[in-house]
Amino acid sequence: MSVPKVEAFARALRGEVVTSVRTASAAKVASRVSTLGEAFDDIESARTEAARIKDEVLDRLRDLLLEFEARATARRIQVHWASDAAEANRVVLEICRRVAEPGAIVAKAKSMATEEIGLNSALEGAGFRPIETDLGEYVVQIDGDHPSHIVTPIIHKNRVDVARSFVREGLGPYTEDPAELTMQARAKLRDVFRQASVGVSGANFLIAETGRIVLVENEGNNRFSTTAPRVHIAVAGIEKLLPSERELPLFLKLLAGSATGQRLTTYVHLISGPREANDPDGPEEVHVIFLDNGRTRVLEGRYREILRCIRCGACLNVCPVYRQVSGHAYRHVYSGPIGAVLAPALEGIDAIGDLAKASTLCGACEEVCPVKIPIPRMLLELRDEAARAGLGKRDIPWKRFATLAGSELLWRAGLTLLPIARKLPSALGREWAQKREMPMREGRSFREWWRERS
Amino acid sequence: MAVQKPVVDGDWELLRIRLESLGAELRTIESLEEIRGRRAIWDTRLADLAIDLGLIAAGVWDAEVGLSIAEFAIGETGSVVLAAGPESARLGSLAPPLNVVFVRRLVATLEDAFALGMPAATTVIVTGPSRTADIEGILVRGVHGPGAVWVVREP
Amino acid sequence: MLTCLCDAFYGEVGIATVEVLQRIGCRVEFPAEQTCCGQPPFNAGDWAASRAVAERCRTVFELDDPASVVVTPSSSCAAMLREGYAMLFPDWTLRAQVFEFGEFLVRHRGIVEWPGRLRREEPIRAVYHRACHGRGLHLGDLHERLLGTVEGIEWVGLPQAEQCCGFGGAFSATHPKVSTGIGMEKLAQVATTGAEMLVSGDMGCLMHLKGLLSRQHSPIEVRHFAQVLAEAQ
Ligand code: SF4
Repeated sequence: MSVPKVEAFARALRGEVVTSVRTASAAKVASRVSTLGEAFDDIESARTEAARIKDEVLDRLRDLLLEFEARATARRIQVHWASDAAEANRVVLEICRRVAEPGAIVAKAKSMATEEIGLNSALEGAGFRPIETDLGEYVVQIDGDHPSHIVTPIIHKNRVDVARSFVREGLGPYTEDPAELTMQARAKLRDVFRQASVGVSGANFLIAETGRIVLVENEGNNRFSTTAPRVHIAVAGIEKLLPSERELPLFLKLLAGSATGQRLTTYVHLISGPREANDPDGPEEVHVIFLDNGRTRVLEGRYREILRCIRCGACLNVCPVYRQVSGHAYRHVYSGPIGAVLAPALEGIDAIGDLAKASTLCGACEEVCPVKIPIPRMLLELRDEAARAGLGKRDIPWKRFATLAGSELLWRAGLTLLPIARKLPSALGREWAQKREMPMREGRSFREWWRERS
Repeated sequence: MAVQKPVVDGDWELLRIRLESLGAELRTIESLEEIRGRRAIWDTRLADLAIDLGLIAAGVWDAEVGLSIAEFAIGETGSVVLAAGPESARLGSLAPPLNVVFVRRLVATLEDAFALGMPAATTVIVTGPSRTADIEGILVRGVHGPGAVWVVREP
Repeated sequence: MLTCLCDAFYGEVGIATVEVLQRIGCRVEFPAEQTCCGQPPFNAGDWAASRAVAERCRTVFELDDPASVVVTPSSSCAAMLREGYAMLFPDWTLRAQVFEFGEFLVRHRGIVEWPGRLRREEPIRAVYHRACHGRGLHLGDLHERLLGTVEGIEWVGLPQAEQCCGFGGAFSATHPKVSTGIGMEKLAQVATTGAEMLVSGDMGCLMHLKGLLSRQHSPIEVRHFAQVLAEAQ
């Protein structure tokens, strides 16, 4: 039996990484529970309501997108449409070429959508210098690494790793103090904000009724990147809409509580457009690029609800598999339970459908998801789809199992053989028995007991 | 969703508690003596106060203190709501290490804040000092934005 | 419904379940033709194989008949019948009443106290592991509440109770490193409580954890919910 990729990754993973991920995840799970408990009288109905609103958005997506476009345009926000990653990158590059010198710095605020389209390499290829300004993303970038969590990108690294990278990059003297390391990054990135001609962000919510862009963050780099440069570009998946600002309090509280256990993120930025004539600062141009990149296809298929996702990362934090393997094992920008569904839904199951099998189906993800996405059900459907497409080797001959289970006689014979079968050398059995004792019959047989007493 | 009349008269004591738990402070106007003579950038509506405090006018990137005026504060979350406009630089509340925010009105909840109506201009809801927990989940304040936020109740 | 694991390995759990049901005055039937509910191939993605097994199960347990009451000492089998079949057979509706064993006692029969004492010399310190399939069934803490009324047991809370044991059926064989890693985490949490007994409502979890415990030569006793109730007299 060949080793599944996620399993292979887990075997190769350093022990410290598992420790980092586990400790941080467990802390976030605990703070999520206490914060949401305080923020909502009834968290269940809050989640149900959020799911309902997101479903309504998906049902009315076309209309809401057009409404947003009209309102945003009236605010002098320029709206662009990109059907795939290449198109989105092309729009960004066109804007950069028009407003910035070759080699100009592009300040990047943390954004999963720009990770998804590989914007940094597109910018570099065109001779620009994209610099990630979120602390974690900055570390990822200077290390030539990938984020291993959608909210806390360097959950897989510890302070020593960061300290070594900062010394290597000449940010300051070696220190393992997180506060000092943070200040080194602050000093370095200040210059980036001052010099950047263009700032690129994602978007957490786009409000159809008002045409505003809503961004949430804790560090302030997002505000800098969207305020200091002459041009701000927001790249957003088409599913990021909300009908109106009335829905925002619910979503802002759910997002902050679920993501980081805060009542509200430090900054909630409601962007109404470029600076007004008399404003002392602010960008001269604001652009929104709507990214499809497979989303309309997902919208029409059986994984539609995955588009409710607000990228809070709670499902990663609580996921026992994620904790053992960390984000890189998912081999996609979206990792953990959300990634195991979203990645194959966007890219196709032949590319990355194996992720669906790397789950115990424990359902912890669905239980914490602020928009109640039925992730375990979707993982099952992905498995079914993969099996019907003839993908992936059959680990176990289920047809034979079905024959066995189709007759009482065969079944009972099989059961009698099982305690013997466990002695037989089989690949499956060997894997199982590496750390565990194989089960054996314990005590009486139910069937014999039942027969005797009746 | 049930529509309720927004509570515009929030509890200042709750705001103080929330601000403190965030690592921010509710300050009196007298306590601003501490920043006398500093390099600062201010909302132009605060010019008189700036002169009183002997503040030295500085640019966004050099100021030690930014003085802002909030539309209102939110008790439940410990937030202040800042709107962009001709009187104040957006970066004035972000770039200096200390942000002093003047506020007159206090609403009870985030829902009240939105029901009351968010300013139409670009707006930021600020909830405590800038923070990160990217390195080993350890909380560090003042990563890019101000590490200190003082909220001053205007009479 | 006995479940595969109890059929193959853990007959005592089936026996305990029947004893408890009879003690509260239920008439228990055991259709001997029963085999499997079809969950293993369903989880593995082989829905064709699963349907074949599930169809048989539908007949054996008369799941089309609103008068049938099916009780099984496994949240995972109960969840399969209630939720899995809905996915396998979108046009079919479950008419029978299907219960996980603890759910049946508490929700269906309204039993909130279990008068009885564990036959031990000393009170035993125990933790309860919530089986993950109880989530979909919204079982919450009903097992813990009922067990809490049994005398002779000192229950201690299990930290990070929402975490899975790592079994996941075939997952434990296809992803052994991940599966045992999760299981060891669970046992580390159990160890922090100083518990001498580990109880759960699902033999899948218990088989997995038991296998890990015996490799560690741990003295922690592993018991199914039904066995604790049966033992308490
Ligand atoms: S799937 Fe749900 S829990 Fe996971 S990131 Fe998205 S919104 Fe959060």
